[in-house]
Amino acid sequence: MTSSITLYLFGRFDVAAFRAFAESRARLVCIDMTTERMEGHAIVFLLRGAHALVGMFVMACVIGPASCVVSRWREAVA
Amino acid sequence: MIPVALSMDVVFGDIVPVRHEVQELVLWRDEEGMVHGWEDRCPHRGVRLSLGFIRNNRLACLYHGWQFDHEGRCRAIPSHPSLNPPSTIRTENFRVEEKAGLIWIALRNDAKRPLVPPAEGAWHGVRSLAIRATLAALREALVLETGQWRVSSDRLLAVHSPEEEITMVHMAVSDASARVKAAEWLLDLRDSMEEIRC
Repeated sequence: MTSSITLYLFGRFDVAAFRAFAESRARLVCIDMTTERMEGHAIVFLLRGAHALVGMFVMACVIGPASCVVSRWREAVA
Repeated sequence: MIPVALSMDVVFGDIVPVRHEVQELVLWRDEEGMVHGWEDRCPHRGVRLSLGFIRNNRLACLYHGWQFDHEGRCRAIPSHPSLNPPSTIRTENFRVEEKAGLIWIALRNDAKRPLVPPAEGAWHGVRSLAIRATLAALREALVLETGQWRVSSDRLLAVHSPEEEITMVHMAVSDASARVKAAEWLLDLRDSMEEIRC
């Protein structure tokens, strides 16, 4: 089953580190990722791929790289 | 290529962690007898694969049970049993050869260089021993110059460096009945290199 969602992440981000992390994880789990917004306090991705793999990507981003803290997140059907 | 273990120390069903300089590696042998050498890190969450276990001829990570086949490709994710994992989920693999009773691994800088086997014929592993001395010191003591191995009469000695101050010496012999004496010689070598006096 394919999912298309918009992922909203809020918190404190090292933008370069998060971008590298997200791109690497998207490649790993083979999903399409488009960056809608990438700022120090908010990040938004459009995601498309197998439902389970999109879920893995979301969970990875919620944990994030060591230099970033996600304080709030939500997803919406794209 | 780097000699990282004796063949006899990597048996089917076991997972063996080894280290060469900064590179942490995991060795395992599949049902067909082939040895595989991967980066010791699960691509999912980075846990050491050497903490895992072998099931269905696959290496399974201890953390979430992701299973990797002989090519390092993820074949099963227990939390999503109906998912066919994409081919992008795979371990980082290195070329491995088994020659002269030893397991040799090609790391990045010598990935394409063919292995020149130290000696033909059957070699019997004696033991691997960690010696608290630099690789340079061991090379000097064993007259290895810049190589990783040498054959001296019926003994094969091979070295690699898991850490800066520690050198691992692997020994094999062509005559199996010489194992005990060879093992004693290796212990004497360690004691003299570490200057242990009884």
